[in-house]
Amino acid sequence: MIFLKNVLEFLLYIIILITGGVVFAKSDAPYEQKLGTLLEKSRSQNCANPDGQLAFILCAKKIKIGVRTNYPGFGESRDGKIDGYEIKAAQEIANRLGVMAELVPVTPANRIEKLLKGEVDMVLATMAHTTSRDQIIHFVRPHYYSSPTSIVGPKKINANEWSDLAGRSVCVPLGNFSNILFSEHQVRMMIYDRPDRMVEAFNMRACSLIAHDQSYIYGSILKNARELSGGNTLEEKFSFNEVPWGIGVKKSASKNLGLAIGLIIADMHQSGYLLNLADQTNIQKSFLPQQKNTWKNPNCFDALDISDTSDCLLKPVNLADQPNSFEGSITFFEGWLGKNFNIQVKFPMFSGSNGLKMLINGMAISMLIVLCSIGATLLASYSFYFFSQSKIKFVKIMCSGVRLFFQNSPLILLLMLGYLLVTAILDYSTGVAVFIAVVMIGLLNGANCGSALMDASKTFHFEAKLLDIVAVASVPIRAAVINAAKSSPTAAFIGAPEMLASLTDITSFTGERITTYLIVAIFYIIIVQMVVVITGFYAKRVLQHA
Amino acid sequence: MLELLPEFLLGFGNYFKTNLFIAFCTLIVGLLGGAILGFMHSRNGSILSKLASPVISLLRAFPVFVLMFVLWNFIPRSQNTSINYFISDPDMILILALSAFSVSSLSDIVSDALHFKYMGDSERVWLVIPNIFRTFVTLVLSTSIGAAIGVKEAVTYSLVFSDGLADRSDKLLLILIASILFALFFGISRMILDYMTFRFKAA
Repeated sequence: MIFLKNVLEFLLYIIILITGGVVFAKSDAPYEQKLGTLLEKSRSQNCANPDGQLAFILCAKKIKIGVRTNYPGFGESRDGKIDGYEIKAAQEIANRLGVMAELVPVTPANRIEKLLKGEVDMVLATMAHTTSRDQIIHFVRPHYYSSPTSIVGPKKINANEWSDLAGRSVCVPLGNFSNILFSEHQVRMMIYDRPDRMVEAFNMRACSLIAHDQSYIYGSILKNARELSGGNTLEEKFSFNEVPWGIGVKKSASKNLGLAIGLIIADMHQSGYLLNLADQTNIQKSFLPQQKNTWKNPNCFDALDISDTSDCLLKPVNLADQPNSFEGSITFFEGWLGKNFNIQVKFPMFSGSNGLKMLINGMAISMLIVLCSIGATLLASYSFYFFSQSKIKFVKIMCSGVRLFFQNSPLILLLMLGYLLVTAILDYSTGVAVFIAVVMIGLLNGANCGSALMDASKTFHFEAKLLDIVAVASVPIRAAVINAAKSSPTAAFIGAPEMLASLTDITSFTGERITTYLIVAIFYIIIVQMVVVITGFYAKRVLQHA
Repeated sequence: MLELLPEFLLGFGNYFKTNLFIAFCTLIVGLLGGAILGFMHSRNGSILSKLASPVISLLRAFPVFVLMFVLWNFIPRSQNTSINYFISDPDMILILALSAFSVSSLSDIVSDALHFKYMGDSERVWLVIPNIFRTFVTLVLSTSIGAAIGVKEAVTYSLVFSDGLADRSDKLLLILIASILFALFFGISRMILDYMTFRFKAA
């Protein structure tokens, strides 16, 4: 009896071991098993009429993957070959699906468009997962990478927090969601559509700092710091906004292709494949060990099946501009232009709350700068003329020296001079930037105008009235006033948020450049033409009265 | 600051060559465009004149700084850096932007010269020379806006050099010296110009 009991106990022990082992073995590769089932189901379909994008890809035995080819560490073309973290991951995804990978080069500007047009089946191209993009395409989760935005510059530049960046020029990538933060902190942005161009511009000193994904900063910029900065040491100033990167598929493919890729990525995290890939390609990997633990956790095994709200999945970031009340009409107009004239343009500056606010603000500040610059020009010209008529020789000489200095100095240097002088007394702000711009534009054009008044006064052999002198010098005075209006956009150089600066800011986070710069051009042409017409009218009146 | 002055002056002189080069290229573009538009504009009442007028007005009204940014965002940059060996992308964009000014300005000069020629006043036709020189001097002064897009010229050099100085008063002094250097160059140029104009008028 005891023997039988022992045998039964032994058998039970064996059964527990075996079943436990099977359960353990099953849960060791949960994503692989689910993928197997999904692929089997899709493969069983009739290839003459495949249902769903996954079945279509499996029948075609080929998947078209949109990748970057100019992003060091992630997707870089060298000697005719593309290599990097994303490229290797793309090939592994194709392998696990049992199909061939066809890599299609994409850019940040066209990657979503190519996906929607069906030119690629999926996009694996440094794409941050944002709520605005979520509305257009499906982001596969788990995310395969994550990176904050870093700001880098020479050690000698003090820029350790946002307040240090006000008025400084920073090279930023076009359409980056985080650019909205730069515009909020009065940073003067230089926008680039390709990272290599941005680095080139930074090297050429188009900007004093550079902002990009931390992975790119470490993989490309800081690595080559010595060459880039001409011997000056570069350092990371600070980083912000950690954002997950996701693979994009069409919304209609979310339940088949999207799910299959999600299971592959989860398995790649769990097995440490992506972590090894990051080591091989020398990219930053702080996000990957954390994801490895997440996807090893049995609580997350079913996260992809349950819902998008699982704690195992990261949320998209929401930094997009909120639509305003005109959004519907603007979308209709954009559609109408596309349908009737085949013109594909966007007007994000009219449809977003922040965009519209910045546009109106920019227009108002531009008008203010133009009006005040004209006023300052006339005031400065009269002052130069007045002091040049002084009986005191010293005053005359001083006036002449100052006039010649302003007349012959480049406006950009004058703006910098004003900036350094005024910010020694006052804290930098929008008002201070506008004030400096108005004073410097006024002094430069006023010096020319004052010179014209002095020349005109010499043509009279008697004590002439000011109106008569103005009448003689009406042409150069008018030219100086028009020039003051034309010079006003230069205020953007020291960070005054006028129209050019505002629309550049809007472009930086919306990515739309064509309409933006056309609007700036049209706005300033209208402003200058108005000044031409108004000054023409007054010039005639002065001539009549003189 | 004083110990760095010789290095700064040397670099300034070196980079100032870019200002002169860009201004010269822009002048050539301006002369070509200005000659055509000026000729068209001088045909009073003709279709040519009617076509030229709005083009000249548009070019004159376009703020160069805005045009530079429009071109910066519209023109596709060259992919191959060896193409840029002779002239870089920012230089090219600056030349095109400044050409709006040079073409409109020189079309007026050409138009005036042709007008004097038709009137038989051949002496005043020669005033075209100081006027072209005046345009060139203005163009050299205007090349400084290239600092906003990274053109490697004297203003960019001065700003970069000042970035390397820790003390605000040193920075101020440096920018002031750069401005005085520019003022000296243009002051002398204007004196030459006045002399040229005086001689041509006297002749």
